[in-house]
Amino acid sequence: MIPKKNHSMSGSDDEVAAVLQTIRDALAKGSANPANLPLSDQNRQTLEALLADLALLDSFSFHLSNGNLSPEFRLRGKMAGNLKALQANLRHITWQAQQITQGDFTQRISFLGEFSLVFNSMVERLEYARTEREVHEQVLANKNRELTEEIEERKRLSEHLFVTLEDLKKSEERYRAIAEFSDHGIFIISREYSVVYVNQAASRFMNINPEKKSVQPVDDINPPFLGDRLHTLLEPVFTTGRGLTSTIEVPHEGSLRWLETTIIPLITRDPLPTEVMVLTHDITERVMMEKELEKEGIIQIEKNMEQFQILNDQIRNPLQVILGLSSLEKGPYTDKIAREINILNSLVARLDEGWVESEKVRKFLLRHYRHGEDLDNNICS
Amino acid sequence: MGVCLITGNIANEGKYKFTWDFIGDIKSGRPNLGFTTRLEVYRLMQYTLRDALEQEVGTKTADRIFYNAGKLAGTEFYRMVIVNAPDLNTFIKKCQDALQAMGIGILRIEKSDLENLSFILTVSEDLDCSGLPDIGFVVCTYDEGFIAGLLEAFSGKKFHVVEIDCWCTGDRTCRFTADLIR
Ligand SMILES: [Zn+2]
Repeated sequence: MIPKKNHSMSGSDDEVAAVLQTIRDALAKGSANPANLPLSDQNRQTLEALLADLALLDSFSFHLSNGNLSPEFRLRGKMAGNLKALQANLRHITWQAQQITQGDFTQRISFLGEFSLVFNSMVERLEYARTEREVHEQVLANKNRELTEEIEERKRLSEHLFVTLEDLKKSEERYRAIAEFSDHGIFIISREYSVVYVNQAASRFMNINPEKKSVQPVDDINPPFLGDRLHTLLEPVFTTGRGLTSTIEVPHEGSLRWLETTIIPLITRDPLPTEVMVLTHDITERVMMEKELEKEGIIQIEKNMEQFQILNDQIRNPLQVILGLSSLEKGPYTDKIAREINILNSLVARLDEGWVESEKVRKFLLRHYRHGEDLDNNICS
Repeated sequence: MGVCLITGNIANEGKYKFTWDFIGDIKSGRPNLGFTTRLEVYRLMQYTLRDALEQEVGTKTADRIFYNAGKLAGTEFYRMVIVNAPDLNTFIKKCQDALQAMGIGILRIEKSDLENLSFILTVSEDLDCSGLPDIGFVVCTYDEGFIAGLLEAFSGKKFHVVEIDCWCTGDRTCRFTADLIR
């Protein structure tokens, strides 16, 4: 500070000019040397104090211009105050920038003119950008999580599907083996009356090469009569959805064959079957055996009836003899004998009536099982 | 900014124990003149009061009384105006907004050392000193107390606040250091 002391001007204009030039040098170059100036000690001290203040101002403003905000500036006065206010503002802005860096977007600058506007606008945009980025990151994170979950789900499904397919394959193999090696003939027939599958037993019966099984119309099945009969049986199953069992009699390789046939809906859609399974079982042997048994039964009845006839005659004749003899020699038991003979007679008469009934049964059996064939000629001895 | 009122007994402990009742119901009390007054009046009261105090109790004690009054004001100001701040930045932001809105000054932070609880802050256009001549010493003793009261109410810890630059030392802004009293 320049001491506020009044003292009379003692130097010439040249001296004043030299002092002013020194001050101008100090302002222009940052330093000046007053050593050679012809001044009183007091004026020299004052000038040196002024030049020292100017040097401090120069040094401090140099630091500020280089962004060094840390130096303590102890010079007082309006010019120094302005520089210190500038330092204070810059320090505050630095502090605010640090807070913003740490995520505090509430920082605003006021009363620094255009700089405040620009700075505040920048902070708002930074905050907006950060919010946008956070939203974007959140969206990405969500998408990423969803994708990861989907991948996991697909992986799990794929593994499950693989296991299921393996199971299905095994299951299909088992069923195919069962179907293929079954004694029963198995067909699968579509609603279009096409045979989509036949097993080995059916192939053999139909004389198809098992290696060349292919889709073919039901009507083309060999032997022709089987196709016709199947077609007739299939129709109600396809139209009602209810399965049925029937025995089909078909001529096959010069003889009659009986096939016990069951038709079951296999795949059902809207709500009728689209495919049905036909199970055929050759029961010709059983049928033949039953017929044989029936025939033998009738013959046995025939035999029994003949025996009856003979037995009746053989009992009735001796009874008549006993009755005649007892009436010739009347005695105390004659009447009793006659009563007992009558009882026996009526028993034989009832056996005769039974024979008549048996004859009716025999005729019924003949009519139904042998088509009127005269059994007498077929009686086995 | 409006001032909330607490009704209560004035002069419970001592004649002038502070309560917000002394602030009064300004809205109904000053329907025409309102909340504001000329700054000269505020300064007139402050500096005549300081003069009177100084004459009665000496400079040092007068300054201490002023510091303590400022501290009480800072504590009450936090309680009634700032109310609550979850962290330092919120606290500073609320103080900046309130001080600016009420025309007290423009608060800025130059440095905050959270580890050591040490701060450098400035108040520009200060109520007490901005525009005063360079008289060679700092005068914002009341502000020192006020800042100490605010920090103490916020942190629950005691602070020592010292003004290092002031309009009255030829500066353009008042600069304060605030350090934790260990
Ligand atoms: Zn001050």
